Amino acid sequence: MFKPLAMQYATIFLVSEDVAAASLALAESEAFNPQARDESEALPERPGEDYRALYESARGRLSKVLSYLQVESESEPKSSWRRPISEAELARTDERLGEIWRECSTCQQREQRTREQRRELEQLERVLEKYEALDIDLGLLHGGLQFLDLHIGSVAQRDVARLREAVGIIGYNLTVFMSLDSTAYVVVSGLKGAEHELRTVLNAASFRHLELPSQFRDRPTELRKDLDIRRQRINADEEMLRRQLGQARRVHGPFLREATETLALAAPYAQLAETLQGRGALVRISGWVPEDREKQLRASLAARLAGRFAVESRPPRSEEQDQVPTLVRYPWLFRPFAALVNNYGVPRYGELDPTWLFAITFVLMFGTMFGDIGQGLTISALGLIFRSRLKRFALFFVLAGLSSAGFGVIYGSVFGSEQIVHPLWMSPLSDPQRMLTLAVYWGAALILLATALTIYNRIVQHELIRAFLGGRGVAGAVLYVGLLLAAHRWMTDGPWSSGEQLLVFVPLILVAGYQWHRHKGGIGERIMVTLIETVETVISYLANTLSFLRIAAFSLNHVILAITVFTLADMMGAFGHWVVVILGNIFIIVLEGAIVGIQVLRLEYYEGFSRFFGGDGRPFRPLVVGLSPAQGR
Amino acid sequence: MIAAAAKHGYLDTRITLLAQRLLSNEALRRLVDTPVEQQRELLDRARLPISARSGSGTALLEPQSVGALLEEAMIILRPLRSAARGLLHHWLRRFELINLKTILRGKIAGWSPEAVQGALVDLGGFGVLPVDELSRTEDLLELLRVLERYYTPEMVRRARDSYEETRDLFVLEAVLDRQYFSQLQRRVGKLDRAQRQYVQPMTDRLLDQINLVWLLRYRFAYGFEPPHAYFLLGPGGEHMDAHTVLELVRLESTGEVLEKLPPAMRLRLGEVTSTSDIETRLEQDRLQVARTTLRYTRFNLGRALAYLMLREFQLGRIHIAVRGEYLRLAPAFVARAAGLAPGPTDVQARGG
Repeated sequence: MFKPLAMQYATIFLVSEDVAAASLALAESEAFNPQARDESEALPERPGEDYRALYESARGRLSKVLSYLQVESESEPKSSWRRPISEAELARTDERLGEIWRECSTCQQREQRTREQRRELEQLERVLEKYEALDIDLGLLHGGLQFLDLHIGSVAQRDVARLREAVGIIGYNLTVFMSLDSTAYVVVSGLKGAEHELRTVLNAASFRHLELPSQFRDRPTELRKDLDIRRQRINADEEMLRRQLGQARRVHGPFLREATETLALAAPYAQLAETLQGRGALVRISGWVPEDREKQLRASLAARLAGRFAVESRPPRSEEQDQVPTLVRYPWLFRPFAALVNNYGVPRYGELDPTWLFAITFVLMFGTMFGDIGQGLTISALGLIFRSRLKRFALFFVLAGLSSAGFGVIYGSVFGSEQIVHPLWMSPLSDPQRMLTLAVYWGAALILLATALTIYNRIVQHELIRAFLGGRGVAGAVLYVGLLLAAHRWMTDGPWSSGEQLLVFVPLILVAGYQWHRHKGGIGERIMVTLIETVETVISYLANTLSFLRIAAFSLNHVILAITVFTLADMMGAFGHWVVVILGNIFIIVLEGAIVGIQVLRLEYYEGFSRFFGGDGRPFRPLVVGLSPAQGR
Repeated sequence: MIAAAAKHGYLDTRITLLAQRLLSNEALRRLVDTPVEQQRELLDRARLPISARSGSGTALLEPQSVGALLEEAMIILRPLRSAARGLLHHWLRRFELINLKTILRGKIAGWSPEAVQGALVDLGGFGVLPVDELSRTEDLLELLRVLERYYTPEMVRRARDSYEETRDLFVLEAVLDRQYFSQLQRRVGKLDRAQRQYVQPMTDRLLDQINLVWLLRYRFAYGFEPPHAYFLLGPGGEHMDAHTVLELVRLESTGEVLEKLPPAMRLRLGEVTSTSDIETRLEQDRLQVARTTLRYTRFNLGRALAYLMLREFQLGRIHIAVRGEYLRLAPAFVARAAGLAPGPTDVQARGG
């Protein structure tokens, strides 16, 4: 719970024809995190590369086809017996998926064309509507003219100016006669003789010729008929495409579900491919396994491979520390908090996992800032009522609410009223200064605890000088205690003894010395950096401590909000009084509750985690059967 | 001045510090002559964590240099807002355009998705295109359909039509380039005048360079008709404005075009006549403007753009120098390839 589980580096030797079965065995055990291979001269071959390439290709095709045909399929195989997928079978699946995708891609291309045709038709209708009433015989324009070369069509609005200049080079004119959306309808005209040059530039500009019905001017009814025929043709095309899609769904559906299962079973081998090394028939698989799951892993391999394998395991070497994945098992009580910690980052292997500290301090800080029996119990009740929606976070709400109710007993507050229960300690507003002092104690305790964890983590990572002399090491912690004592003396006008002065100046010199030692460069730059970093260490301790004053501020704010609600309620009649009290409490629970939650999270992340927790560890990602790689569990 | 200093003080300090990473031409030249094992010191001075001896030969050089450039760009972008940020962000999207062209070439050449992805530059947070999805498309039409989500339908349609008409990849690339440079020009236009006066001389020279070089290629290498060539060119720069380009595009030979260039452009080009030399000369001219902006002006966005231009150019030279040394090519040849020693040289491999 406090530290990631101990890991073993496992190396599995087996024959190449058993790799598919071995990958399934490893995936079924859910206890093996493959490790990318390092270069080895003894095992120069990469036996899984072809398999992986096939898998990637098939996976990509399957995903496109499923999405296009809107076929639902399970990402994990249904059948209980999981058979290994050979490379030949994977190749067949990939080939078939390729054929289906080509079919779908053609349909997609036709859909796009049909969409464009419909858009053009609609625009043409609008053009014709506008020009129908004019006395212009556009019908003449597509007839053969002896000297004049004339083209009517559309281009993108943004290309008009450029195209006009371009056709001007060969003596053509371009006139815009209508603009719709981003399309311009233009007439390009010029003397015959440069048709070839014109054609190349019109093509480059993606010029679309308008297909004008010959009856345009004289017979509007005929014209409508012509456009209707075109529309019907487009409708028919779309209908045919829809039918084809439906048919494709029916015809290919069973195969696609089968292919999904095949790929789900092939996924472990494909994932393993990155780690496989071999020579001839011999293959080596390397990765990490939790120490307490090693037996299970061996048993799983034995069940599939009947003894045709060898496993060697050893603890991680010191130079491998940054490669070892982190796996922490949490008691059920801490699971919702683990999700929030993982949101910040994953602890490195060997580091202390901060979830327990986060869980305890989060719940206590929330209660301190939002202490109320009624509102706290309401939050807990809401967590229970909506547990199916909130899932694992339901517990989070229940615990935060109970803490709030607990502090409500201490503060003597029930739904904002301080008249119902006598406080076990005091109401925050009765002595704000004491609340502020409490908040500083909170901050100092949490910062010292966080610094202690930093020191531990650095010792674990063999960064001893940093652990003892760094700003967030032993020297930094002593400096902080010295500063707190100095501040206390200053505020109480007490004497600052020489021993207490040493508590500030000795660690300060050590921290500065460490900064000097750490930074290389010119003498001026070194002096500057040392000075800034040392001052920053002192300031950040003070600023971080002051940041915790928000604990007091929000506890006071909570009471003041309640007083405001009751003052407003007292201004109403009997009915209005209760309406205001109820609405005010809802407002406090929803809005202030959320704000307090965010503030606590902020204090945890920035004043707590950022001190001792890099969060740059690698999560344990076991090999699993299925199309989506599972997260560390 | 005080207002500019207050507004761009942080940026200016950052650029001044970053500018110390730029190596002089002599240092670059020395890099060419230095054996791989001893290049470390110079590369450290340029703050480049690149090495040809990292176990993977020179394969990682390009991604490492682009990665270094993008990291610096992140620092530069941080204090910038709105139009200034948009301009530099767009400038960096050139790498995405390069990636897109690589994907297009890979599709046409029938590369596997893995091969395509291996040839791409990792842009981190700068890229918006789904390179994985694009590289896994099975043909060009499918790729263009995916692109439609990121570019205007008209542009993608034009790219598709152009490709279907000519089956030439460079036409497709020309469409993408034109869109990119038009947007660049628009973004420069959105800057306030105080900033534009420093930025525009560099972007205008870039547009001049692009327009002249591609005009010559379209007209005399690919044999395009004048209207077609004109249409494919980008927006005008300082001297190669629409009117001039219209005149030049009608001419029938490179010599005629060079003769009719505006006097200032002719002066910049000197006696060079080949398209590649013209490109090199104009690039040098643009970089000279960038150097002047970086050295003699203060508190403006132009310095940031100038630094990015110079750094990118220099990374390219370092890349050539390191790779040349790794391949044991003759230093004189490498120097010429890197544009550090003009003039013909003997091309001799040192063997080994």
